[in-house]
Amino acid sequence: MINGKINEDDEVIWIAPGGDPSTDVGCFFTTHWDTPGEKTVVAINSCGNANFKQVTVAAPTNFRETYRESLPNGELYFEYSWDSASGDLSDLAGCTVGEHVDYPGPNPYIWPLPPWYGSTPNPTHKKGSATTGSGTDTHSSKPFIGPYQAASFSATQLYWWRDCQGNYTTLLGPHSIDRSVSAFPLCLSEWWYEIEKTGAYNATCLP
Amino acid sequence: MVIKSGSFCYLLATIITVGNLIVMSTDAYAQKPEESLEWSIKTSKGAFYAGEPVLLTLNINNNGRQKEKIDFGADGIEAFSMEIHDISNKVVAKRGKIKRFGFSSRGPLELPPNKIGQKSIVLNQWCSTLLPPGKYHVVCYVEYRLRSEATKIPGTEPSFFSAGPLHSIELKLDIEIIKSNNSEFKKILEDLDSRESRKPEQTKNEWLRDRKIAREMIAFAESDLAVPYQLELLRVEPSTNLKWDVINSLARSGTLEAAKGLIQIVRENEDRLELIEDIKREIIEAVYRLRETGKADIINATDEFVVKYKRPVLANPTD
Repeated sequence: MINGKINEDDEVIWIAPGGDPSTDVGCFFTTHWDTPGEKTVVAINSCGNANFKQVTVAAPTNFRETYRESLPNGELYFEYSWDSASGDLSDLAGCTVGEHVDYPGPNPYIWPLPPWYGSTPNPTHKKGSATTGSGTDTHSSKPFIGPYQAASFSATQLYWWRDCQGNYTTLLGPHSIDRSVSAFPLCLSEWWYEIEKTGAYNATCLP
Repeated sequence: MVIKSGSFCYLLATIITVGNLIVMSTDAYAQKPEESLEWSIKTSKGAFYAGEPVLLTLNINNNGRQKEKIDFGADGIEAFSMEIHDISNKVVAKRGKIKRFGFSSRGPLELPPNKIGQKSIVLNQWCSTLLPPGKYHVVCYVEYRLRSEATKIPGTEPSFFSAGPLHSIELKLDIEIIKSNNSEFKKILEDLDSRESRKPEQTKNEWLRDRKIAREMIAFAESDLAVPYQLELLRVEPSTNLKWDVINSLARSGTLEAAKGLIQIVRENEDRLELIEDIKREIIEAVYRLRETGKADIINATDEFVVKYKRPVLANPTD
């Protein structure tokens, strides 16, 4: 989406390429496009003026993992970065980037009880501003409850972006997030929790 | 047990981390990375109306010779906990760390050598400023990690790191709470709302930064006057985490306007619920919380809604 204004001499003032949508007011106009890339945007407004412009439609691109870390509490931490197809991240003000995670079961997903105690919205859907060009993702556990017993499950995660018309495009994934609790004699409790995603692994003893 | 190959690397990383700690403890003369950071905290003014959002700005000066990255935890806020003390040093408001999960587009703070980095947070996210007029001390506790102290686990590709130690710092400042004044509070909210539009002198990046801070301040404003602005935020803000905070503020407002506004957002999106998929459950829960105020006008206005939307089973995301 692009917002602009046509002056009396038909000179177009392009206010916010890739910005937030707005409705037509007087001689202001709004145009729409469908897919990212080089586009010719034609603007015709209620005042009868028209103009066009060659633009690069902004979209997140080159989404990649930039850092992975294990935390002492058994969490896995990731950082991701992306660029804007227009070369300017601020052009992504009308876009969101986020994650979608499916769990194996109904909504909400009840974690195996015991050894866990808790539930998660299924699917889990979270998003943030695309203009930052970077994001983080922390994978944690629900609290543990006894008597401990072996259990495991996998969730499937996608990263996506959404344009201002509400269309979703996958950026990365699907990834499997695998969690398990199993016997481990070196722990004081003799049980430990493990988590793995895309080869990144962490484990911690249960209390 | 689903994972076997990683177990050896995990144990190896633990051994290496312990080894590094021994080396670090014997090298008494080397400057520790956290010692090259100089912290300070400030607000833009000294006096605030009760319930007004108090923006705290942390300035962190990297006096070291290497680039540093400060990790404030998930969503860039987990590191913080707050206390407000009165002049006799009695704690009048307190909240520990806020736990966040899953994806967030807020990350660590990068600090080039000899540069000052800024981190802005809103005090009201932790502690209410609905306090009797008077002078108060704000204590901000920060527990952070430094990226330079993370340890690479050998043999991992892509590189996988074990997090470094937690460092803590305590920052203090004084504020004054003054008696509420509706017309002045309204002006403050209008000014924050005006930051939705870019000013001619602002670059796009400056505007987006300023707008983000203004939205966070609106999200945590504690006043009925903030309700219409908070409802509007739910329509325009991309961050799920901030929208959850806004919904919580609306539920706490206990107002009919909040109840009606939340219901309206669900109605507007009934044909495309995927657009509010990340906040729908929280909105429904907030409507039920508003009914718990027992106010007849709220209960009457939400009767039809609660027949259609059952109270969600409480669940917290983890990924």
